[in-house]
Amino acid sequence: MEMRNKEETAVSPYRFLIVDDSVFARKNMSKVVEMIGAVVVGEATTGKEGIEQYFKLKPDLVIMDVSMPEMEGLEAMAKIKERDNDARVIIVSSMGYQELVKKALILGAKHFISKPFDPAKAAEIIQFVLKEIKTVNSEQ
Amino acid sequence: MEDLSQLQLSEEDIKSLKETFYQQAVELIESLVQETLSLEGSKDIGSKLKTIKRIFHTLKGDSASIGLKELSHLTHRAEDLIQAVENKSVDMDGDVTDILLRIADCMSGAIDASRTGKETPITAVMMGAIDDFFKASGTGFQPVMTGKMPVPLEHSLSEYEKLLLSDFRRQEKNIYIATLWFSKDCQMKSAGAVIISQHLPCLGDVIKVHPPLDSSEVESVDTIGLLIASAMARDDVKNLCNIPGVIGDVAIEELREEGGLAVVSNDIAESTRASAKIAAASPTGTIRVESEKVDQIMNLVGELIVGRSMIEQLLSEFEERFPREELISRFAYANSFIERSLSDLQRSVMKVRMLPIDRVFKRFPRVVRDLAKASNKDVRLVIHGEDTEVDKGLVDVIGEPLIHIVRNAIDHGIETVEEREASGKDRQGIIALEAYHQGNDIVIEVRDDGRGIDPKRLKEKVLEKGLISQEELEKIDDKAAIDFIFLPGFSTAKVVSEVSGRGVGMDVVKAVVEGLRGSVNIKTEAGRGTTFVLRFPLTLAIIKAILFNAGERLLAIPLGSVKEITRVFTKDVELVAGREVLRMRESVIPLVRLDEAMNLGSAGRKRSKLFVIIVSNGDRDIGIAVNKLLGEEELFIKAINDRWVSTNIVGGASILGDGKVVLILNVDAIIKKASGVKISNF
Repeated sequence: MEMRNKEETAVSPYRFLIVDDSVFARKNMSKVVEMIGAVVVGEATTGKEGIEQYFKLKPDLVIMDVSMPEMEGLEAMAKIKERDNDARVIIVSSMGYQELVKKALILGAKHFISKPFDPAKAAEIIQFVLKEIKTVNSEQ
Repeated sequence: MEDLSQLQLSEEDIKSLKETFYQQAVELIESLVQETLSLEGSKDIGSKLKTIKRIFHTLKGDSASIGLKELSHLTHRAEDLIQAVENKSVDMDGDVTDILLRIADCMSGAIDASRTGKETPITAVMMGAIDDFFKASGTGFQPVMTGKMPVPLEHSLSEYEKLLLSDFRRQEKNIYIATLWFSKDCQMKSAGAVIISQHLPCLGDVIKVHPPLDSSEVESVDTIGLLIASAMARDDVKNLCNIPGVIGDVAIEELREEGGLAVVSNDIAESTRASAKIAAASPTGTIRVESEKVDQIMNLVGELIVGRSMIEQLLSEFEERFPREELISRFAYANSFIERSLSDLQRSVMKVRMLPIDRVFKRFPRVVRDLAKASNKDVRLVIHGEDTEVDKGLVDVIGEPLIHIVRNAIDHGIETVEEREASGKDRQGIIALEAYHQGNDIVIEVRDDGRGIDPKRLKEKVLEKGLISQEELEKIDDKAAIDFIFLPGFSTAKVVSEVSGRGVGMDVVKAVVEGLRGSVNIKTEAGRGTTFVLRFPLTLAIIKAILFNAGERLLAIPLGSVKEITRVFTKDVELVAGREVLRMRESVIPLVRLDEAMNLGSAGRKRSKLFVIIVSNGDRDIGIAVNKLLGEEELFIKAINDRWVSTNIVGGASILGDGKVVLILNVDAIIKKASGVKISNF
């Protein structure tokens, strides 16, 4: 995956891909992303679509729902990670999918947001993950 | 400590163990009160709660061992309370402070009762109060919360974990104990635990995590305990522990070598010191000695000083009788050798007797808080010089008088919030306690920024109460009138006080202070406040003094009060308003003839010149006419308990080497008397 250099991070905003079958959820999450000054470059409604979009857009961060038709979030994430181990994913899930979330985290998801979420709290989590990206990049 | 009843201990051993327990318990309760008071408005409540819990924990174990079951139960319940506060099921507010203070009171009551062999008071009432408190805060109290907060992490290490710990110590890494609270909106704790486990490596080397992050237990706890070794600073580790969406709060402490937790907190130095003191109670190098034993040594030193002056006396007689004797110089050498060693010994014993005045001052945050609350005023206490070391005798008895002065200051000095605002003052009144050394004196000041004392009102009141006649009153200036508050029967507030437990007037304060050969002076300014200045000699047992004759009598004045010694012509003594005065450079000072004042028979009235010792109490100067100066001597003071010396101008007595008795004068009393306040009760 191509790395942003410091100059770029200073000027261009982080690029997000949101993968969720619910319009409401996507819209809601887009708001959060915009709130922190990042941009949503793409949206997908299924895991399969999410994978396609990912390799087309190469976003900085993927926000992925665990439960979706056609392909579950977990599987989609695994597929993405297979080809790009540096991919960064935040898993979104409603209650009751804790085991899936745990698996996702073990497989390399960066963090999780449980639905329903408080936008400010979600923003905090996203920023926390972004901060890690920044430190990793500046170290490299 | 095991259960005492199970051990074959001698009566003596049990007694001494109990005494140790009582002493430590009193200290622990004092720290408890201190920590509790500092909870309000503290930024680092977490570590303070830890300290408080540790105090309860120690008391619980010790009191169970000593057989005080009720106390042990009470402390156990108190631990539960702190637990609930830590788990945030009870909000930390003023009510918690109140109940903790009440628990502290109840515990000291129980300890006092047990010490004096009385029945233990009903701690059950306090237990009930704690239950009510839980009910009131709507927590549905769970008596056993051990499932939520297990044994402190550092006490439950396996052998392997201990090995790890000591290895990391050898590598000079910091060992931290961290408690991570799950954030309230973290609905997936075990998923959160996965994230925590992924972050742990950046903190350092993990020695122990409880409960294990991959266990199902995680779901049912509120906190995760961590024991980590890290090269990072505490705050950096703390910051790294903050994982949004998972962790809500983090408490972190450094685990020190001795196994005790030293609370490392940079923002609150006092708490660190308080905890350090608790920790310092045990290490080697310190021994506890009953104060009686030290007093006994001090008495013996006093006797030795008397003994040495006997030798000195003999030496001079010997010299007179056998002026050519060669042994004299060796005798003199031996004498001076003893003298040097004795003064070293005296200094060392004195040092043993010295304690920081903090012992007294630390009661005051509580006193001021309670008094301010009771009188509905907003008062802040400021303490300076709490490290000042003072004689133990002073520490033992000065507390009550100081409390009385502080109570007066809050009751009468500090205005109500409304009054203060109306006069443009800060809402919050200030009471300042300060101690410092000045020359050979210890000075303790109690300041308030209240309304000050109005001498006119005092004069009216004194007249009203018939303590003084109108014409006598007219001779008294405003400055001297302030001292009226020390008159017996002046204080109207004879209400039994909640704090000291008995009604005392300012006259008692004065009596106590003078009993310690101290003095008390008042500085007051209308609208600006009042300062009580208490002054005591550095040591209460041995003083340097000037010896002289007044009439036939041998008297002494503490050297610390002597300003200068001068010789004046009798014709230079002037009369002002029927009193003898001396013109000393710019000022005019009263002259006292002790031989007359004390009916000692006048010996040298007709001389043309006389010696005058100018003495000062820091406020006023007077001259004391003497017949003959006899030099300077170290005196070991014996209190005069018998009231055959029916005057307060004598502060004590001492025996000289030749067996003569010398009376030591109380300079402050003489000055006050000479300054013209002639009142029947004075």
